[in-house]
Amino acid sequence: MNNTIHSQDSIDQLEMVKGESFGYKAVQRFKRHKLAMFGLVVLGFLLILTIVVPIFIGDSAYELNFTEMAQSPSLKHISGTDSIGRDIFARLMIGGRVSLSVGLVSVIISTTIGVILGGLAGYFGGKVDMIIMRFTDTIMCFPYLVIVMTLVAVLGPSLFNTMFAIGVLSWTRIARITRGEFLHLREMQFIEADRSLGIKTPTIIFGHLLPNALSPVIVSATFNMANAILMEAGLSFLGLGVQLPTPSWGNMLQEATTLTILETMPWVWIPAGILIAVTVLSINFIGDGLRDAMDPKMML
Amino acid sequence: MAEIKDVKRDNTLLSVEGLKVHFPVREGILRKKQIGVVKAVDGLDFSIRSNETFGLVGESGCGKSTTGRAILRLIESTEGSIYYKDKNLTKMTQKEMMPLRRDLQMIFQDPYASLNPRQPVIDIISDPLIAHSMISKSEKQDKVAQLMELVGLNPRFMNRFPHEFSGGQRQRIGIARSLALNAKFIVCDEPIAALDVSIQAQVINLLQDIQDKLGLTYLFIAHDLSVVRHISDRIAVMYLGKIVEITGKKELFQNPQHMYTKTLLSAVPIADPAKERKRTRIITEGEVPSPLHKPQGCAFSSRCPYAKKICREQEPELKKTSEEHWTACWEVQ
Repeated sequence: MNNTIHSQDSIDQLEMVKGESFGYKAVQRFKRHKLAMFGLVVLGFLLILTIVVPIFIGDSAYELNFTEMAQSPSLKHISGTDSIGRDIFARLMIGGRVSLSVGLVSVIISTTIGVILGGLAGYFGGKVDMIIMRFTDTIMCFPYLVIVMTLVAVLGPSLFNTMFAIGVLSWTRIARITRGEFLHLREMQFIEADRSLGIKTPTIIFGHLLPNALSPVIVSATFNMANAILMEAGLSFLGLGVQLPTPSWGNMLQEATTLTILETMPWVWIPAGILIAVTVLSINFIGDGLRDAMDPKMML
Repeated sequence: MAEIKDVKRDNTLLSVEGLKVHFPVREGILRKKQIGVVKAVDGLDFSIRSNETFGLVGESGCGKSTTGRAILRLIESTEGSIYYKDKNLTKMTQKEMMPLRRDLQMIFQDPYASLNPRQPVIDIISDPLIAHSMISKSEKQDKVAQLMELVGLNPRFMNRFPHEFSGGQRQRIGIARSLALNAKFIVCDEPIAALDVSIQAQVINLLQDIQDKLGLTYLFIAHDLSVVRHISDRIAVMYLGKIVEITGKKELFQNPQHMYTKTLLSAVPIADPAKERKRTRIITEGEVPSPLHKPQGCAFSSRCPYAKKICREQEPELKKTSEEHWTACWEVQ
């Protein structure tokens, strides 16, 4: 117990125990997480690459070039060309834009829906909980392809509709996790203390409950992002996702369904596969790091 | 009820009349049928005078904490009224309660669970102030520093998180938070039960100092009689959701009237080995009856060695037996 008593005037000049704001500490904790830093660097590199490179490569991703069909990697085409002569590297970069934005946007949609619905169910309980959770169960046990097909049929296949369809269907797990956390947290004494102090319900939900419930949500959201990229691949495969000729990592993988390409032209599909794997892994590492960074109990 | 009228003439701050908190017990999956009622608090009458410490003792599960929470409207009461000054708290909506929340505060038992682990101390203490718009952002740091000093914490640590403090320090943070809104009445729900014995004394002394400084009124809930004896002015003894005896501290320890109080007192160890050896304990038979199936008549009749026929048939009321002394027992009446 440190019992130093300060006079009233000296409070202004109080030397606080050094710069220990939450943000500062969180950054420190994140930096210490090696895998997360690795993930951040890799994802950042990919992001910059996919944003910058397409500006310079022009039309080689779309134009048919029958003189340079199915070439293996060379100096002119770093990653070779596909069976109709389009430059694979250019398509990978543009496809990266598509895949990453599908992942990001659909995760934003699904996390928002999931956290709000799960939070309401968990905080209010009773009938609200009952209604929301039965709705969640319904969405969960519905075969998602059927809904996506219906959605796409109604809205028409496009990039945004793919993001929307994935986002609107993958919030269920986040809702369940948030609800579970809220159910557990709202019985904690500090929430009771909040109510006895007259702190308003929105502040309790978003200011006090949510930050405590966030770590599993973040981890789940990063998995969702990885999942969304794969789901987009699956949808494109069925012709419901991103439509050719617009490339995405998913529909580039799809080309590997032809046996000749699978066997004789590995440069067409291996890079897309590796990029999906690396991106998904990086995102998962970052999620792991974020979870640790946001927990004040983790030591520096 | 007699007790209330009697006290009204002096400066009553808070009075509780016929307070009942019942929890329905439901069973079934689709159609929940009510199969019983847990009568956690079953008709309480007492009043707390301004600037006093009113002790509430009883064994675990007797409804002490429920009473404290019902007074602050953290649990809705089933019946009865709670008057703070002239206002009936039970009739108010939660919105109407808001301004009163400043006056009525609570200190919690577990200093580990009662502070948000994700907030630094400065936010924990200033949140209520901001919620009631009592300070601007620029005053926040000064006000928190003031409060921390008041409870004996070094304000330099205001940016730290709860887990960086010891149990006693955390309880001090909890106390500072409850004082932030200039509370007048504080429910102390076993504030020292979770602390080390060496820290208990510090926190008790702190509570008393603050009471003297700020003129607070406490409802002090505890199961440790020696602590209650130290801090309280008057003490109420609870058994199974009912008050069995209310009286001044001295009177209670020198002249306990209810058999249950006597039993409790005989269980307090004495710090003098010679006397401790001579201490005779009154051992009651049996277990505390379940609050789901309370015995008819006096709740204590199933365990009381002097229980007569009337005890098992009719419930004794809390009656005045001497000046400042109320007991609910047929034997005494």
